[in-house]
Amino acid sequence: MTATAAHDHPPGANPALETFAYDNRIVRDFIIATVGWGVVGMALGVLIASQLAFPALSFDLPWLTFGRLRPLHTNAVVFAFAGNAVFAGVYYSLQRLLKARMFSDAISRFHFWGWQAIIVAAVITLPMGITTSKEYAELEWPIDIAIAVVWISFGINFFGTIWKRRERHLYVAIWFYMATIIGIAMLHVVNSFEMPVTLTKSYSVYAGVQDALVQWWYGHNAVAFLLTTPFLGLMYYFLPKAAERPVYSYRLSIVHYWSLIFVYIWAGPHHLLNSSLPEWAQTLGVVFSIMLIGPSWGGMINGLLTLRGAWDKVRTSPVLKFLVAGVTFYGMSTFEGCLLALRDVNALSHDTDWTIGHVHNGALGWVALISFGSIYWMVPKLYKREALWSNQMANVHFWLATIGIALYAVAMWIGGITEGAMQMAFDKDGHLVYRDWMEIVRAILPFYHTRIAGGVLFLTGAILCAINVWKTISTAPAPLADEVVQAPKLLRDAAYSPLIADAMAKPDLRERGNALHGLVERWPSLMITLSVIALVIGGACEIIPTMIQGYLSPRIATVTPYTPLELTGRDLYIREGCSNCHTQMIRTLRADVERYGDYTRAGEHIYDRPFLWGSKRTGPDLGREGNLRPMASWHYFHLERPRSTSDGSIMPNFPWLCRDDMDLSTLSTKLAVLAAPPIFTPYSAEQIRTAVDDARAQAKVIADDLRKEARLKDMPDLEKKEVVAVIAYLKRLGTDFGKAEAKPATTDKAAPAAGGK
Amino acid sequence: MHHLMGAYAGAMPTIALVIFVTVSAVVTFYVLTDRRSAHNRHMAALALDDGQAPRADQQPGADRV
Repeated sequence: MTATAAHDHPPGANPALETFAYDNRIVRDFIIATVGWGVVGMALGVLIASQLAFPALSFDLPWLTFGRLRPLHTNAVVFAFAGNAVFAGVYYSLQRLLKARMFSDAISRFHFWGWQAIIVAAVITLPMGITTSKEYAELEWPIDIAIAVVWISFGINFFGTIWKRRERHLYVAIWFYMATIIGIAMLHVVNSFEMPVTLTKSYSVYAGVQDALVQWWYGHNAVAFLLTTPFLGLMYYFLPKAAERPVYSYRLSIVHYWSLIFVYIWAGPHHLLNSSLPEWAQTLGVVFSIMLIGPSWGGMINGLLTLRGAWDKVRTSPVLKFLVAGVTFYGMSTFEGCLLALRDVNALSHDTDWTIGHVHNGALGWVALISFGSIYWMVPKLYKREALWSNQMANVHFWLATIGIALYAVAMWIGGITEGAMQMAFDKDGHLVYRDWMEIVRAILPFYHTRIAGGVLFLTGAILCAINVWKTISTAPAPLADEVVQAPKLLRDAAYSPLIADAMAKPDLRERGNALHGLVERWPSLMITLSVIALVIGGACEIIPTMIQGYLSPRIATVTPYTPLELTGRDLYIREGCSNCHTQMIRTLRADVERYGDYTRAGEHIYDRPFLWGSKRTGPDLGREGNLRPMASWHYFHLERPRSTSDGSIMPNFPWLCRDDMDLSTLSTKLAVLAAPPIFTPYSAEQIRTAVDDARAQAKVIADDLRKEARLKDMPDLEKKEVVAVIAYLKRLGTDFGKAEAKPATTDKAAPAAGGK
Repeated sequence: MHHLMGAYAGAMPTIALVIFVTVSAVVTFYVLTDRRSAHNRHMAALALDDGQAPRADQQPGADRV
């Protein structure tokens, strides 16, 4: 097609064709990285799913435990697999949509190798327990800076290519890519404010409920702007390509884009329903989550109707199979997302495997299928082949993936609902039916086994994809020259004011609207400005109030900062990834209060940097563990070998905590950082100076208590072991609130009733 | 404001429903009355346009442009 020449050049203008080449090498590199990291990330998923069913698979090795590998799995899938897939798709489609080579080959290479280096850094640091513990943002501060630098380089390359384009109007896919670049930059920077202690340790600038709100504003919108908007861009590009049809409705794509980016950013608080987050923020999260169904399904409908008159191609084209199934899964998982954001549904589903199933419906069903479909489209073209090495193998991959997702989702739905219902079940006398957590664990284990089967099927499909891509590449001619094309030079708009005047002069309201939006499509800086405004409004309305500490986290007189030993224990809790399986948020629900004690107040967490509320209860909530299990020896034996105290537990053993000495070398620095601006934790200069001595003194008290147990009586250097610090932290949890000698100075307005225990 | 919100709390779901239905109807009307202008057709088909292949004599060395 050469519509460009006719469309962009008025009569009399010079339509001279320019010859140039697309940079296909960068696309090929990102595709290979996508496939490679995809297999790694999915294999890690199968491993950690197996560890939940068979905890012995941790082999008592620190770097092989669920708590350390789960963040590696999510980072590998989200940033390595999906991230590289997005970059491959963007670099392929952007050049063709703009009829221009990328702005800078050097920046493209820097972007590629910088991103791979970040992933390698994650692979090294996360199993070592170097983590911030904030979901999807676990990487420590030096890597955060590297992410920002590489992301900015991507942005420069992207907007630079728009600057040198030969197509006047920006296609809808490019709008979604633009929202991705702006949105992720904003989310990453705001969520990553942290104060470094050492190269491998930092404390979040935000605390408690503020940190929770910022984190889930980030976490939810990382799904929005890394796993949704760029993949919608890929859908708008590759679906018309594969179907050989223009997109169904251009108008619908306009509504889709603006409504999606405006609404999505508000929905984060639905991750914190029935918590100590203020009621207004929870309600905002629910309302905007329900509204999201509009733009989400609008996009799905636009994608599926693009196939009008071409549905027969789905039968024979593996690319279309993947894309159509991906869009369908998008519709299903966005509907499920709205459902899970309803308060009553959320009361049952939150912290259960239903949420895990929902995430994987999106990640496997939407993100992965669109990625595979796009890869199967691009690879033959990039390697100068007529078709894939084996279409049959791609078809087998499709069915393995689809059946795998179905198994996974059904297992997690049933398991999650079972888990939630058992947690909330009361007998006729008003007592919890399943007070013993092990009853719940035993009930959901069969679904964990089913999940492994689903994961193995999906992984097998991904391995077939890797083989198919490798075989296609191996038959490619060498050397591979870049793709050379021609397009007319773009005559730049000299001034926008006459265009605005023309648009405003249209007599019909709809035509005026069309003309004005047409102006936005050809005016990148205006498109960027409007997108930023749409994105910032929601974030600002939710984040700015979080900065008002006194309003969101009323002070409670009895809540004091952690002692040096408790702080050390807390950092070990973070290192081991305990918050991947244990929450510290007793919700304002009767079942939670009955099981764990008084619901959690915001004021209890004002010294928690980062917050450790968690999002999944594979084990019970620990919010008031200090009240529920004050015995040090129970914790010692439980951490050393959980099944010795809790028959049937699926928690891994942590024998190294009882073997290794705690590291107190940076303890004073930690307290000094927490006491300094902008954190201002009330540690005195004397407390900072004597931090190590204080920690040792408290450790001796706990060790003496432990030595009352016969088995530990003669254990040497017990007070130096890491487990003592973890016990100090666990014994402290939830004990500040409701101490007999003091009442809360103020109480939460959102809470139905105040008071201690 | 707080008093008013409390007094009319029972009407809020109905108001929300009316707003939702109205906005949905307007958006549906807007989408379905697409006049298929030349601009809209051009924009909808942009994904299908990869640029044109050059003449054979323009191929060598063109990837350095």
